[in-house]
Amino acid sequence: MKLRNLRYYIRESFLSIIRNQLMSVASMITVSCCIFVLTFSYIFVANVDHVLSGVEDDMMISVFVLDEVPDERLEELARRIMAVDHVVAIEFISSEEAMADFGARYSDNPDFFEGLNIEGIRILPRTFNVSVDNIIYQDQVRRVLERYVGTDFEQVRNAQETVDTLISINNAIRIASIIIILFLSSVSIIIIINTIKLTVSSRQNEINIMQYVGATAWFIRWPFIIEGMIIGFLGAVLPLVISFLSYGEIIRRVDTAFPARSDLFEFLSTSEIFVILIPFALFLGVLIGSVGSVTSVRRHLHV
Amino acid sequence: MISLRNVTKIYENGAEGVNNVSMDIEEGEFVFIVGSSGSGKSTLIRMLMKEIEPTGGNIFLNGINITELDIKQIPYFRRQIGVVFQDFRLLKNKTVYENVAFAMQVTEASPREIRRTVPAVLAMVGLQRKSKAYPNQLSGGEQQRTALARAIINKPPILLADEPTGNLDPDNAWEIMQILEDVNYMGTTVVIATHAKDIVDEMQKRVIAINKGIIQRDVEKGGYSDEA
Repeated sequence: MKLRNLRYYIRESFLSIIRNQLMSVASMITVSCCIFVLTFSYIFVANVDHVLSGVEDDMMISVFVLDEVPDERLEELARRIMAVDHVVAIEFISSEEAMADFGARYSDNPDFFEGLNIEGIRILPRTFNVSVDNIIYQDQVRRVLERYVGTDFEQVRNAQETVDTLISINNAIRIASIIIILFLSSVSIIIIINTIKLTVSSRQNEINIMQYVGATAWFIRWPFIIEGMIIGFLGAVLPLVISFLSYGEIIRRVDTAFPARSDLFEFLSTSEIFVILIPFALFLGVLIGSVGSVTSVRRHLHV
Repeated sequence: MISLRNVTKIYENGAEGVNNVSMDIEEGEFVFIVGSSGSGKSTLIRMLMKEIEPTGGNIFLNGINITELDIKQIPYFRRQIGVVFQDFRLLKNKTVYENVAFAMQVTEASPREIRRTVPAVLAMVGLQRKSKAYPNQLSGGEQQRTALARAIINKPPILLADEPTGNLDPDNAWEIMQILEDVNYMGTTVVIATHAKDIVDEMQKRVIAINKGIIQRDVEKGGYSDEA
């Protein structure tokens, strides 16, 4: 495609959209529905992922070292833990540090704490807090470390149930969104095929004349294909604008309704969401439009 | 330049378009193909512009057998020929200027070239003052002159015209013929299918008479029928 023809193709495509307003708008609305589901699910999934990664930071695997293991072996145990796949960091908490933390938590009941703090006796075990690169590997890492329970470790613990619930909710949303997006994409493509079919038939006379004067097949096809792309693009813009404008407002309303929310988790910022969502949604819109128009041109435009 | 060898066309419904036609047209010639309706003259024109394929035989243009052209080569072949139809076939939503420029656009000419060439060709066909008019604002003669400007804008070596005066009154018909003669004078080979007896008789050009798909007569300078 020559650049000098691009202006002609785009002009012809817009004229065609204006000529077949009704079908073009119908096509755009179906693309909009599809992209709207995409934006909704992306915003949800991205935020859950974000929350999960926050939880991930908090949800480390706790490895309690057996009392009989001498302090000299702690370095070796640390190396062994670090060698496990997906382990990215470990933090050692000595018995004293654990007691201090425990004391801080029970500062309102100093007598209870003083009763436990007996010189020379280790009440709380030495602990390695283990971080993994992705929360989904927590269980796998825990199982590996559990092999040393009884020999080096007393117990290995993680909050697997909570993690599993969050992961399964997120996966369910992801799968449901993909199914809905695939379904709506198919509907959009079918409607675009028919829109382009109508355009082709309304311009059959023009197509014939173009052929008489020596237009190549691609010169004739491009305006129709670009028409589909424009429909897809414009169809994607509307839900993006709506979601862009409403995202910040929704966060504000959630914060008004649940003031404690910010202590629990953070939403992704508008820019963090839309820097990825805008190009992806526009790409999907244009892709849907292109697939529809290319299919229609192949089926209905005989040049 | 144009050479037909044993060309036959039988349509799908069994009707015979032309039957074993052979002829040669040299570069720069002005040729009338005459005959009554259904005689096969339009079939010849349509085969020459590769709108339909012959059932048998070969058609050569400048030594190239166009019956063997690959589908991708057809557009480039068509740029070598200009075509004028009885029903003008103009784009109703485009102005005179745009209709003519359109033929250059599809050949991917530069905008500068289009801006330079179109007004000159419109002047040649006498439509320089109508360049902004739409087809429905033009007379039949003006519409056909627009179609003619479109046909010659890419300076094709061959111009094919299928009943170009069929929808025109005598004055407009003569104007069109005058332009066609001018185009021929500049070196373009002109082949016209017509049953406009007065024009053919008056112009005394080469005449190929066809009847029921068979060439009946081929004279270098003559009229519509033997007597003329």
